[in-house]
Amino acid sequence: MDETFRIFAAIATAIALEAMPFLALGALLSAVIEVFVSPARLARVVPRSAAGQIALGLSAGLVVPTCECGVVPVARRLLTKDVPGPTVVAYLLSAPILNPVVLVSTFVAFRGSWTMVGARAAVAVVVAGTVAVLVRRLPRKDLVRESAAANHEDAHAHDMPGNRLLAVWRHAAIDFLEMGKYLILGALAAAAFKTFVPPAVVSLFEGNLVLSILGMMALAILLSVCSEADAFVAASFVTFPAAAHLAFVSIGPMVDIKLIGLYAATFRRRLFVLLLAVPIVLVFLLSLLFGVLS
Amino acid sequence: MTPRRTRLLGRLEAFLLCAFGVMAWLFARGPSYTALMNPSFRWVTLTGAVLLTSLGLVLFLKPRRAPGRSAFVSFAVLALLVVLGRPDQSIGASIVPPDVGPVLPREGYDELLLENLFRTLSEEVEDVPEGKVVAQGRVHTIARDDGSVQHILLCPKVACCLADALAYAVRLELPPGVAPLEGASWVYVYGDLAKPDAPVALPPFRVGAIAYTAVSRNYLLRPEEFVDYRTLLEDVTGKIPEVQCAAFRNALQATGLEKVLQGEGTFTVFAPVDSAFLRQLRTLAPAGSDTVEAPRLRRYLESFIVPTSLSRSDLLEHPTLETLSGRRLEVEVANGRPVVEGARILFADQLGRNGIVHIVHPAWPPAAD
Repeated sequence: MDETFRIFAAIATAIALEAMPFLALGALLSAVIEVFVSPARLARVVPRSAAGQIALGLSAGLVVPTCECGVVPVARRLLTKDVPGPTVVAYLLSAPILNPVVLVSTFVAFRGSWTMVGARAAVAVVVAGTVAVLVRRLPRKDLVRESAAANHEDAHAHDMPGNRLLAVWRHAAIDFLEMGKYLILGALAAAAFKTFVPPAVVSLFEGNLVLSILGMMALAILLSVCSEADAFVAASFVTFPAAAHLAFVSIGPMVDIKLIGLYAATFRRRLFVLLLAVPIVLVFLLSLLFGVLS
Repeated sequence: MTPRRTRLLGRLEAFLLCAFGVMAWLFARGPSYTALMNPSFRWVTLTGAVLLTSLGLVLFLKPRRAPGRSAFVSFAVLALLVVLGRPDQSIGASIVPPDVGPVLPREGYDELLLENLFRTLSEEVEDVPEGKVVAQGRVHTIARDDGSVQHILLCPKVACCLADALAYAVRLELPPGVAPLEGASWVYVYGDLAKPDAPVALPPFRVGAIAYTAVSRNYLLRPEEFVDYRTLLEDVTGKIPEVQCAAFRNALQATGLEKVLQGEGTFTVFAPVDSAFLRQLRTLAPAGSDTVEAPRLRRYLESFIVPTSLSRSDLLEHPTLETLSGRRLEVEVANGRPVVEGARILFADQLGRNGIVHIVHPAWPPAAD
């Protein structure tokens, strides 16, 4: 078998294997919420004020560390349980960054740079907060796709009476199947990019601040590196300025190839567009500001 | 879709989920795992595999009411990719160094891997201490325009999985008279870290599964010493040219023990210098003859080989060693150094791919028949 194809297959397999446990755990957490947590109970936890709702979403990642693969099924479930959109979206976008594991890995990768850790956290807060504010304007019916709701009903229809644990497992299995197919598509696309695009292309972007930020953002989206590892990858691009590193580690956990697929499968068009467009624009502008000031 | 086909598709996708879980389990338990994933994450993969298999089993009992073809197709594509691509250890050859045994050739070699060195360089501060450094890495060669070869030392790194594999790298400036290094070989380097007058930018390049390699522009490494991952036998004779072990090497070849040393397992070889070895050989030969019978010679040579890898410091903790011949060697300690069967170790800890060589003098006499 051709060596290039073998490398492509190995990278695709590695991405799928790496993300699979986290997606499965996310699906399981989502199923636990579905079976054991009633909308009324969730409503009691969520503050009434918009600021409180967003703050809850932003801080949830610190309590429930979740990587970007696992957070989508949980977010979907929370939306179907009538948790306010701003809370869910703030959690969806910020949890893969604002969690202890990722912040520590950023600190280590950038050799103890509190500036980079703080900047990354700040970008996550601003972007997630902005999207959350914008989501308030969307009607609730414009958030989750109908196919997600259909699966939800299908899972319920098959609940085994008297055995809620099996119901959890069945919910999780259906969630995993629905999300897993997009994960695999994303893994194939990222592996293709990593295998077939000449590495010299990257160096075309390194000479200019704007181009370097754009180049690293594109790279983060195409590579689909896990948020727990992306700081190490970013730090290796030593010829790029710190602002480009910041752009890389900020956009990747919010938008990448496999996430685009997961978002498309889960959210309706207007929310889908918001989840893509706002992070891309804001991360670029904030990284540029960071580059100019530093 | 008919209800029967719907049920069939539902069970098939549940089966694929189980198969994916089983595949992940087998993969995480196998040797190929380190080629694709950071071994620290093995327990995560195993946990996910168990979870996934259980999810598939539950779904198999009660399939989805409306299964989609797309999920089935995407999981089937991944399975096909694994079957066709056969990701195995060879994929990680550019990333994972060969298994070299437990001992590094110079104290502190493992304390400053190139990764750390390169991160220091990436700070781009002026006060990076120039001077002696040690580094482990993979040699990469690039042909220059003038026909010469640029050597680069790569330190591959995998944070989570093959997708984030990258390599820190630094140029090597070989001293005059040193033969060019072989590309793709793994070496330890000891030398001077230097900052040339002008930065040299090299384009990033692809090495195996590593898509991007960042080469330091501002620093290079001037090696004084290399230790490569060659075969054990080559180390015996080729590593230390000032010590003559040719007679011992020839005897190993003649008796077929060379193949044993290149085979499975790790070894410690006590290689006597020629003068000492030939002196003992004369006592082995029958009266009136210059040649030693092959079985007798082989048995004698086996008394210099221990079937495990032991460094000089390891020897201090082993008062006796059992050799391939079954003979037990006594290890004494004199002035903090091991003395094996009365022989001093002239050059210790010569690292080979599958073991360690110690050059000894004198050679111990053959055991009485």
